[in-house]
Amino acid sequence: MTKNLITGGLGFIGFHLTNLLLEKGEEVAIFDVAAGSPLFRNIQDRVTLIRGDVSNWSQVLDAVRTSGADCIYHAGAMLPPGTEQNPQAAFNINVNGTYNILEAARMFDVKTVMFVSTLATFGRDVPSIVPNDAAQHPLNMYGVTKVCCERLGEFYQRRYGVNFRGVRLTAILGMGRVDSAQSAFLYKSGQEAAIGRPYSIYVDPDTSIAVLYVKDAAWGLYDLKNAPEEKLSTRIYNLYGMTATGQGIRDAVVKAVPDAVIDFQPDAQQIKLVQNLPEKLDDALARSDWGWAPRYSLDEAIADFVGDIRSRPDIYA
Amino acid sequence: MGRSLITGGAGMLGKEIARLLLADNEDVTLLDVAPASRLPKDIRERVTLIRGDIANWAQVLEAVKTARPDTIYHVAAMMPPACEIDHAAGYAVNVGGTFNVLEAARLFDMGTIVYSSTTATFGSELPEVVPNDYVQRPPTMYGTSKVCSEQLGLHYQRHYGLDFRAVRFLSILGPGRVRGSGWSAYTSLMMEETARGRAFTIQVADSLRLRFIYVKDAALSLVQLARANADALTTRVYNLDGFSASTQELVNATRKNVPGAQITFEFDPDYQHVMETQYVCIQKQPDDSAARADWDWHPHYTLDEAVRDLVEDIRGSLE
Repeated sequence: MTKNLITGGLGFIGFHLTNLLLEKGEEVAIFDVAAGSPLFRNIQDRVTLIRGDVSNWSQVLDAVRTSGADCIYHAGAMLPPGTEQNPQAAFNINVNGTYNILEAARMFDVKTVMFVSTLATFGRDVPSIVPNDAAQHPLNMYGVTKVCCERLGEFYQRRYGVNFRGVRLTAILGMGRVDSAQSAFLYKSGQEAAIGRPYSIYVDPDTSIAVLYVKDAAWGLYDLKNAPEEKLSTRIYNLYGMTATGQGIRDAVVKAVPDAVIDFQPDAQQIKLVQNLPEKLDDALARSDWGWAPRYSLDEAIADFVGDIRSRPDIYA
Repeated sequence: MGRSLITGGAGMLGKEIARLLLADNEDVTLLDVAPASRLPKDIRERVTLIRGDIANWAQVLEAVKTARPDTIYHVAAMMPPACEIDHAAGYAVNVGGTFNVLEAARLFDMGTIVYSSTTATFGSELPEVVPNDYVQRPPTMYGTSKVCSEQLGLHYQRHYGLDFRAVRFLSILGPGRVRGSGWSAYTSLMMEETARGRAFTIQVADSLRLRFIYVKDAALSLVQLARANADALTTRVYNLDGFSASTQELVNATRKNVPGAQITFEFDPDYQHVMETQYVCIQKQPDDSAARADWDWHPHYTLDEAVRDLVEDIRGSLE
């Protein structure tokens, strides 16, 4: 039975990945700085929680050793806006944290290291459909740290044979997201509607954004982890779900929650931030190499998301 | 056959430990920042040298993982005055380095760690005979870093059951002591330099009396302690004594073994002041009765024997 260690496991992606791995009958140990998360209330007795900081090498090595992990999903990272307010901490947590994970994997012969990267590794000067191997000139510290991690992981793969694999994700939609980054309207519109509260979308109806359902992100990591080595032509894969407009999001929410009260109150500054993000990632390589395909359409994603929120009145009320 | 890892293995003390272990057919790995060219031929050809910095945790773990030692002799450290001039480096190498070695031993379930501490962990106000458990209030960064290391080791012993053992050395007399590796290095260097046919100048008073241990006794004590029965140990850190000598007695012993040695005194009050204030720790006698009782410690070398051996070693290396 596969033993997994998920760094940042109490986070948004970590929660959905944990659920998927438990469904698959795998063991999950979670490494996180947090003491716990209400999201995990129903499954906490099925996982092992190891408290620690990815930037503390001996805590990382101890967790890898204690869990006996044969796969590490390294999702623990500092996110924007924190990374931009404190770039030094961002470097320490994201880059040194990844270094610690890679060293731990090398020292304790962990079979696979899965890494969560981001479309923020690409800058503005990229084609509107960003190829897998487009030049990476990130515009923020978050993207800078993730480029460093990608290259470090590839180096460990070449030099030490660490089986490093990663995915670049777009903005994510799903239960458990709590941040207020520029793409927050994606989840807030559905979440507020499911709870029965009105919401104003802060972009234009025709503002578009690349979006991936969180369960597809978890599937992407899981499928790439289990892909045969000979199928892989690279170590890091763009993953793409769909591109949605403000109006498209609203329509899908209303379809799932007919009495939803959602309007538009566009904010020029927020729109600009959203427009800074690439609209589409070219995921042809992931599709051809290991059969990547998102399982959820926008309507299906939002219906599932609303169902998830309503199933957890202990958190969302 | 035992497997040992010696940090600072290319240093003066490390090399003598290596020789002792090689004589017992142990499998010896050295971890050192220095290149292989620094090792004498008799050692170079029979050990594995891993170049690395104890302050770099990944290099330490790599060395431990590769060498799989059942004993780690942790003798690498930054010496005064270097660690007095650069406290940050002194902390990183001496305290951080010890932390890395302890963590490596814990993470890879290694056996015994033997650590070379120093009487410099004691303060400047000391009784004539310093008990093993005397209060430690060192005036220097070197001593401070060594107290930290002792305490860390003791914590790992209590908390994780790591087999940590240590000795506190006086000033170590021996060949190959690097210039600038401690204010007290002049004592060994007067013998080494004159044996090489060079003149040597001493900046302290001829009456300054210090205590020493010969490097071969120091190495032997670490190996003895490493192999001592755990049940016999009543403590984890042991004072060791050696012999006492004034500067004049050191000069006399040098002249006896190096006929025609050119040694002159050029008194420097600042140097003398450092020795009097920061080196009280090697003016008083450590009480080593615990080491004697627990694992049968006793030094083999008198001053004269130590100087003779040191001079012979230097002459051998010249041939």
